[in-house]
Amino acid sequence: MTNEKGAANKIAGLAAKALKLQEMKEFQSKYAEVIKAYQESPLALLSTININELNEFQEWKQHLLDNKDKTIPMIISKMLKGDIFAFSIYKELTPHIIDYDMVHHNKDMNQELHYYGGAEDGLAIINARHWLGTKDAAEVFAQFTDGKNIECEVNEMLNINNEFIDCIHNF
Amino acid sequence: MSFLEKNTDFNRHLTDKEKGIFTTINPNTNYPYFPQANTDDIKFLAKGGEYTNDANSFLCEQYHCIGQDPLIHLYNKGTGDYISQLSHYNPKTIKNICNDEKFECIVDVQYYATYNCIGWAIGVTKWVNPSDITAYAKGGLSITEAINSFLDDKAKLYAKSSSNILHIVDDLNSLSGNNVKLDNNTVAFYFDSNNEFLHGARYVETLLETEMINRWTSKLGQSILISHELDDLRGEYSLYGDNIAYAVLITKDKGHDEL
Repeated sequence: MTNEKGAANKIAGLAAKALKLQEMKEFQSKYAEVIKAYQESPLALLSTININELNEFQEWKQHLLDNKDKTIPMIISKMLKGDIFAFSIYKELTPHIIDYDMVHHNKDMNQELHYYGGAEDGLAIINARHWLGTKDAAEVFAQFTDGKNIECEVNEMLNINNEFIDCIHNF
Repeated sequence: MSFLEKNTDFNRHLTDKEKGIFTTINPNTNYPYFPQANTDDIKFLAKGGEYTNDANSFLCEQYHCIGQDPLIHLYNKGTGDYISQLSHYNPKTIKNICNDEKFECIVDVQYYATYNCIGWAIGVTKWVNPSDITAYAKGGLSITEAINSFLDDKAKLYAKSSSNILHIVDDLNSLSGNNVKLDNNTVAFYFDSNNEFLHGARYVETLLETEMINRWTSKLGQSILISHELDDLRGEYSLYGDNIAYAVLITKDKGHDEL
């Protein structure tokens, strides 16, 4: 898990740089506010975290989508550390979702979930890894100075191949 | 390692605020979240989890820690530009830098150590999503087969894991009959009319070695651990659905009697 945490920190650094101080403060404050609201709502009684049902999240969702290039890396960074709230948010922002049904029908994914502990935090990590291999990821990272370098570095750390980014001549 | 530590709160009646968990009206149904709950008889056993800002807390080894490592991002207060992460510096250096008026530090940290209902039910200190069982059921398996596929998978997965603190998942099996003889660690899985699994409860005879319970016990998502009657949490409009399937302990040298 050391590589996942290292990769998460690198992605968080990229996102922090992109957001700058004020936006970063707002993001962190809103994230904490949404989690607190969820924990205080009856939704906290559910074992499947369903942040989409929370009004506070719905009010924030459009902002997250409008600023996806900056917010998705922050969410992915949290997911790589097994943050299941971030995973719940991720599911509302992207179509690239690996669910338990897919895991049960794919031996490699099943082994990957077992490797990451077989629970919800593991599924969050798998989804973050999967996203890093998508065209979306290549496009998001391409928005930033050093973005491509960081994605190549992160993908090498995590042994992920993203066919939409050329990392061969990167190092 | 244990799920519980005895405290003065153990096995008390619910507070009014806690009763509200069950009686609050669900705007989607216009019924209470748990319409059949007898809140005077439900007992509080333990709180939902522990907040900690310490990444190395034993809580994060024992339970699934929702949240992330304490990343500290350093910004130039004047320009708003990002400078670097500070997490790898020692605490004194971080304090000095963050107290400097030229800089602003954004600490990206909050942990919530907890386990969930399925984790509690099968005796592992993990957040185990009931959608994992639902996925088996949606794949065409019967309810009994879906539960057993899930249990087999988790038994293999947690065979040697430190998360498996009760070692009951190894011997849990779902039976097709609905009338089971209640034994210590019998598990009830709640699901709705769409075969979506939503909750798990575990019947316990004693907790904390000497405390007689002889009741169903449930961890309510991220919320509190309670003892209750099975019907308290079920119902057509209940958040956990109206259907229940059981899993019982069947060890190699001991069968289980169905009534």
